[in-house]
Amino acid sequence: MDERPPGPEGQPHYIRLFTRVMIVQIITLSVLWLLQSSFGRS
Amino acid sequence: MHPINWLIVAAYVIYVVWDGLRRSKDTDEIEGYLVAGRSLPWWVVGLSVMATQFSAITMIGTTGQGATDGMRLIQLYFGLPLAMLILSVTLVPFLYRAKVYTAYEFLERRFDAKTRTLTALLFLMSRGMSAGVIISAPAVIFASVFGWNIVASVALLAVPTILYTAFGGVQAVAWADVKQMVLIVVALLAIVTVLVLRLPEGVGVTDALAIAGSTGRLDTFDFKFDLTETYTFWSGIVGGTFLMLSYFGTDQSQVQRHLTAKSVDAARSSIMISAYWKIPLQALVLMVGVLVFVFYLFTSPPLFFNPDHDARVRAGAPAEYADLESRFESAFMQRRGAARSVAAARESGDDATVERSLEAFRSSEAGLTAVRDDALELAERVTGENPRDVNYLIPSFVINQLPIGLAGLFIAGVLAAAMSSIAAELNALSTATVIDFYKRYVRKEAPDAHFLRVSKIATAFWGVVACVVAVYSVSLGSLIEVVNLYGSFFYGSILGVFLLAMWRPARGWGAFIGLFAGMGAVWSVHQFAPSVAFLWYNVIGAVTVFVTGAVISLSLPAARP
Repeated sequence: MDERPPGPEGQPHYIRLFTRVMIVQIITLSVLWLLQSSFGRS
Repeated sequence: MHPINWLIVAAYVIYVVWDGLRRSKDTDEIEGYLVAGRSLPWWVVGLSVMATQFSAITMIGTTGQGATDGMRLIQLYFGLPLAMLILSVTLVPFLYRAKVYTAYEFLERRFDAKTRTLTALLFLMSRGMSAGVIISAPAVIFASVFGWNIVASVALLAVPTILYTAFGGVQAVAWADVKQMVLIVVALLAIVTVLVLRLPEGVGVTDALAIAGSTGRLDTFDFKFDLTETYTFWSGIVGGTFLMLSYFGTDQSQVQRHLTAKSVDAARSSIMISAYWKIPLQALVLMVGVLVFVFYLFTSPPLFFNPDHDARVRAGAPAEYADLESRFESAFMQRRGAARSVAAARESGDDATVERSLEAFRSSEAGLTAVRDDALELAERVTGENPRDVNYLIPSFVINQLPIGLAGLFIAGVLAAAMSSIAAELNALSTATVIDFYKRYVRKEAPDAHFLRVSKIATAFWGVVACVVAVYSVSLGSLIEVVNLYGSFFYGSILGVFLLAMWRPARGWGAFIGLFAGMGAVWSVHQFAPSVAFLWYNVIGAVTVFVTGAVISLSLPAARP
């Protein structure tokens, strides 16, 4: 998935992985949060 | 069930077995059989990892939990992405580069034989039993829903899986997992589509969500810090991270997956698939349940979802059954009217009317729940069994409400989910038996053909053990609890040993004694503070092992160079 060498700023590639995973999770959790705050009880 | 549905199920089973046996031709070396020659692409490994974790219980039990309890279970997985990230930079490259066949083999290189043997033994004991539980849980449901004998039900699930796992090895298992994962997702998406399309006229998707939400079923996040609550944001983030670290990083059924990847990067990328997709997939599973709850607001549900209990209560207490049935019908009508009123009130756009209609709906829901509780109490009295029927909700819906073809697709999906998990367990049990015991203690050197033969026999042996456990665990209901409890006793502790392995000053005795200290600590918490939720056991176990192991390692005299 991510076999590129470390980024041009010397950023190791697991930092890139971390950023991507966190973005996906933030999107997922935001959707769940939106569902809860729009339709949920609490 | 309609013959076309059975045809779909049969076609799926035959195809999986045929494909697995076809792949067995490529596996004539032990490295091919156990780790697919370390040659699989990252996406195959990644889907295999996901399929392994997605069992039949996820397909029918978790969806059922979504219907009765809503989305909050998903918090269990909040720690998973973080755990995967940690593993992708720590244990995964560590184990991959060590060129081992089992995670425990690595522990001997790092520490000593006794630590390896103990962890492998704990794995075999726990997983040997849990393979049986993985078969028995869906088998019991199939037996009840289709009126089969339990042995036939166990055989349908286990025999095809044993065949392709024993002959094809990990190669067959991983490729079967890919197809099974696709089938599972297609089945879930199809069922969501049907559920949305079958909302009654005048009730839109947002109305359905508002109605389900008013009962708390869309409440995903619980930020309360309470050690006794199983599913909270904090138990998910902290306890869940430790649970996922130990499961994906140290359990042979998972480790064996990433050892099959063709490079460290491929291994790392493969586990990242779960980091990206596990929470959305789990949300989809629970949402199926929530939508089934909405479906049964407008379509009369059965009094009992378990058809076996239904028949026995009807025969054993006919008068009480008739009374409950009529009370249930009238409570259902009232709730259906209230649900329709919510949709109408939302249409009107008046907030006060909406609030009043939701209040009326909640009260009618409580009325129906009270009748159901009385019915379940009666079922317990008549059958003498646990009356909870959450695991029967989805099968009952699938068989009685889904159109022809889709029901077959869903049942095939359940079989796929069961088979992928069973296959991974058998594969891992066989590998640990052969590599950590047979090759280590019985016969160190032999031609590949010999170890290959022994691996196939070991797979078949564990398959038979799992079937026996599955058949007997039906009559020993508490066995399942014992197995789960036993697993949670040492999961975190084994993670602690692997964490120690990555810490340079750690020594063999530190790891070995630490392992006992960790299991002892978890046992003490279970004994003296039983209200602590099980997710925290993993944290307690791992931390105790690491601290004890570190202290012992540092207090030992320095090793000779």
